[in-house]
Amino acid sequence: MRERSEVNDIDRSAYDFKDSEEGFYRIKEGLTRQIVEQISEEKHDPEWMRQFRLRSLDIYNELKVTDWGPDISGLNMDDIVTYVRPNTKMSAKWEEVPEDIKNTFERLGIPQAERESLAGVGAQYDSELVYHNVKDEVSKTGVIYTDMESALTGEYADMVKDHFMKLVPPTDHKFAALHGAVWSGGSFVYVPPGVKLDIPLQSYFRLNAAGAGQFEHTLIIVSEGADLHFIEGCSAPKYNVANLHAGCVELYVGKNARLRYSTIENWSKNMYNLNTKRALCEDGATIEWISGSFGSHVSYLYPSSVLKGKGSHAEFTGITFAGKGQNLDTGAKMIHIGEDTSSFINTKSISKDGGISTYRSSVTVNEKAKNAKASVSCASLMLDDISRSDTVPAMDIRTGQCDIGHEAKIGRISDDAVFYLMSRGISEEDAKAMIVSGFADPVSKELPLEYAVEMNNLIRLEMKGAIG
Amino acid sequence: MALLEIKNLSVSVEDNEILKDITLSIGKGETHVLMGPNGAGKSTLGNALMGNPVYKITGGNIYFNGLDIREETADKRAKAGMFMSFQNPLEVPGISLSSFIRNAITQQTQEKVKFSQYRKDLAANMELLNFDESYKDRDLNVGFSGGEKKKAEILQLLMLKPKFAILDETDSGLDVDAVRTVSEGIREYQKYQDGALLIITHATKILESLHVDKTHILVKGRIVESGDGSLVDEINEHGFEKYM
Amino acid sequence: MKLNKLPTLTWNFLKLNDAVLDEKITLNGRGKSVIRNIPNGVIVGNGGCDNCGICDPSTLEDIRKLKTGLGDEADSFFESVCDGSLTIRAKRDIKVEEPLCINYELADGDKNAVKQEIIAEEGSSITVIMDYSSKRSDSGFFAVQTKLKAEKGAKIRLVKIELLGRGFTGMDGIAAQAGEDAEIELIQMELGCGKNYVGVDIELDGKRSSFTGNTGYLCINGQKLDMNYYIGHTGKKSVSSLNVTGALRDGSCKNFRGTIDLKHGAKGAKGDEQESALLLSDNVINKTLPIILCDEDDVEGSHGATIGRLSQDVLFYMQSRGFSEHEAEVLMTRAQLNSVRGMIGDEKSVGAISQYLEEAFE
Repeated sequence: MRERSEVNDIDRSAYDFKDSEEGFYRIKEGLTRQIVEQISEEKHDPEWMRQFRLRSLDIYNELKVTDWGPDISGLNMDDIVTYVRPNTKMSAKWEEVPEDIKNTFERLGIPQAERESLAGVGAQYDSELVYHNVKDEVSKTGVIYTDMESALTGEYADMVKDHFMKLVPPTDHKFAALHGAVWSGGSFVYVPPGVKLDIPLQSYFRLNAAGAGQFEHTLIIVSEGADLHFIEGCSAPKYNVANLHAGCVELYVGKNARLRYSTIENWSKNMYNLNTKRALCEDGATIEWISGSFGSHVSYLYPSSVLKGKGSHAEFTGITFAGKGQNLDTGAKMIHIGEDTSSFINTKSISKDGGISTYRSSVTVNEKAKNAKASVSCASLMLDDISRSDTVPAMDIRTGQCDIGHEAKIGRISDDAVFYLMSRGISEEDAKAMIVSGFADPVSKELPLEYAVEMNNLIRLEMKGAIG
Repeated sequence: MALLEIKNLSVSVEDNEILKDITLSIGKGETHVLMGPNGAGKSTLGNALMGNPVYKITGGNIYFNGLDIREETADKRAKAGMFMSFQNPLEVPGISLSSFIRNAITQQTQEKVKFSQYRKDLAANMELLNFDESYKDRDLNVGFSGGEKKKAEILQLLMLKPKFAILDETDSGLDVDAVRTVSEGIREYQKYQDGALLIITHATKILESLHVDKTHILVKGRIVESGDGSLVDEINEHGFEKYM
Repeated sequence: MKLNKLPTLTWNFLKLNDAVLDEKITLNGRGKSVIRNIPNGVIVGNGGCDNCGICDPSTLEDIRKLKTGLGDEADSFFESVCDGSLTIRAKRDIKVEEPLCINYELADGDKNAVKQEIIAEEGSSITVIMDYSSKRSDSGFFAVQTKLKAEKGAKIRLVKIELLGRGFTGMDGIAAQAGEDAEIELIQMELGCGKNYVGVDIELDGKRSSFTGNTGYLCINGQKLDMNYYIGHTGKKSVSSLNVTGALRDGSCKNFRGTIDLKHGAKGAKGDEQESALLLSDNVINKTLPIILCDEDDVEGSHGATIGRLSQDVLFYMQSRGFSEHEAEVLMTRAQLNSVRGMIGDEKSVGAISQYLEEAFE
């Protein structure tokens, strides 16, 4: 009988605490015209935004849910509260954030991270940002990092209006339309031409309220020759009712600019994570996605890169870890439009304890994208025989002048590798933990250090003491 | 004018300058040897001369037979009479060695190859190379050993009869017998086809039975010394240390 | 008619979830078939086989239940238009070296659909070569359904050579089931037809059963080829390998879907698929979707694809021998197709392919 190791669920106790919502403004469940109008009023939207929300709602009502991908029938919009406003105003001083919310973020390590290594931090609690701060030396370069609501009416209002949901229109899919109707919170970042930030900006999203949805909008504009690293983290405590996250991320990367967008998603396992992320690259621009998907009950997540500009480049590095009760459908889309564009996808997925992970991708090369180069490499690791791992990578190539390569592998921990390590005196559980860490390494080495350390510790910890 | 004139040639790979200011001239029927330690840029010179697009010419000129070939693609250079024996020859499933060579001759001469004469030549050259005749019907280089691949390269050299050939580490990885056979083939090319050669090597075994006109030492992308055939013996004895 | 539906769906914008044949099909039953050399130990029943008494009725029932890769709509189309089927059976423990050849010769305006069944009884082995040809300029419709059943330790080698005229629409549905230690080998040359739908469903039910598939195709002058392969691994230690290789030129389109389904319980199973597509002009459309479904840990699944122009290494070697880029592309395309053709091992069929390719590259 071959021995088999069990990898337990990622320990979530660090994220699994909840706070009282007493005194919070909470809109009625469900989605009606009245609710959308009420949100708009609460948020003092400009008129165009009010119209935009209502139009999005119409589109939402017309569109069907997808006929592919994981089942989302457990998600009933009539039960989801689309807007929960914590009982506080947004603050730039940590001391002014209410005690319980402050405790939450302290436990998640947010202000600490800021003190140590970040150029600016935003923290969203349920539907609104409760904290936003940017270091002085960063502000002086002209970098704008603010909440979306302020951006809508502030100095950059026109820029926001010109870009808001232009890359991900509400017609894109049903949950993009939902986002357009009820979005709230999120961040606006503008990096002026030539400004290179050498330390990252970070946003942290926390969904505390039971049965609520979070619909934050992130809009980032990196101007010509500029450089930015943006990190987002997400978590929520576990409830017995469905929560929904339908955020939207729009990234505009200017000529010869570079943007690295890192996400560590660790929503609780009652979360439906139906998030849409898209980047548009101008000539010579680079977008780099680093994506770690650990949480959620169901995920649909495929960051897309539109390589419009000549010589633009996209990289996607992702890891997905699906445990018990999780159905994570993740991947990437690469759209080659400009000449001399290149894209690179490298993903790893791990399935265990009945979890389902699906790698799904598309690489499309337009007839004008001469000399396009694309390469896809995906690997899946099955840690037991009750889990599932599917790979669905599509390629649509419309020019002869291109080089497209693809490779995928699926399997389990090699007995030979375990035996080799054990013959060097390493215990079986350590050997397996080493192999899983090694498998995840190409992704974890791209993560910010504190996340990489955490991820590896989790793998190591959870591989321990569970060999059956 | 010499058959091949290289003037102040600089070559880069992915923005790293590998060769710097190389000047070299090879006359009709002459045999030159290019030696140097690993990483000196020897193969870079061979590839740049043959027109490998990975190797970008950043300065200088190459003239072959009086023509400026710097901008020409490899097939134009081949048609002009250049040849290179590859370090790692290509495997092509679905095309036999014989049919590949015949196709190549047709491309270069733009004339139909007379089949009976072709078969005779091929058999004679394969015999010279101690190359089992059954290999002519096998797919090009598919399942060939390292030595057989190199023999197949020299066979192409003898069949295509270029004016000038670059032999890029043709002796590397071969056992003593194979080196002897390959060098037999090279001598045939020197003597009876009056071919010019640039032999790139870091060993000297292959040169033992060959006439060498000139030897060049390449270190860190520059030719640090040129001499006659006797320089080979000196390197054999003392290595490259004094040039490093 | 919806054809070649994927076993698991993906984005609709890719238009790969299925293919639509929107022609009105009226058959006229024309087109003749010639069966060359029926080897000893092989029994061929014609014109519907239910009453001929040569097969065990339960075997026939089993084989008829198999679904082809073309999908339900196509399968019911065959049921409704074909009166009977051609049944080929290799008797128990009989190993036939010589191939059985069926040549379908079609002419302009022929519209026909046929069904075939091949049964290899326990321990037997059989090779069947089917070729479909017409004049290059002919038009018509030709649909073939072939169902295979290889019983314990049996081997079926099926060769399909499709050389129909540019005005033809073709449908080629294959269903196969392999029992314990049984082997299915499929070699396909898909060269003709203006529109061609190929759907293959292989069920590796038996322990240590295996499938080897090699497909060569050429799409030129606006030809459309739509392929759907499904390989289901149920049997422990079952092994599959699929290689699809070809070239596209001058406004042609090709879709390739290949699914390896490693089912729960298929311990020790291995599946591999490889695709290589040479794109020889700018106005072609190549879609590739290699899927692995995996519901078992003790398995290995892999796929790879190379799409586009010749790699720089290959091109440089070819150029150094005097071939221009265009000449190198032609040579490499021929090499690719030759290597599939070389597996057929029947001179007459190989000759017909060579002639077709000569004309194609003129």
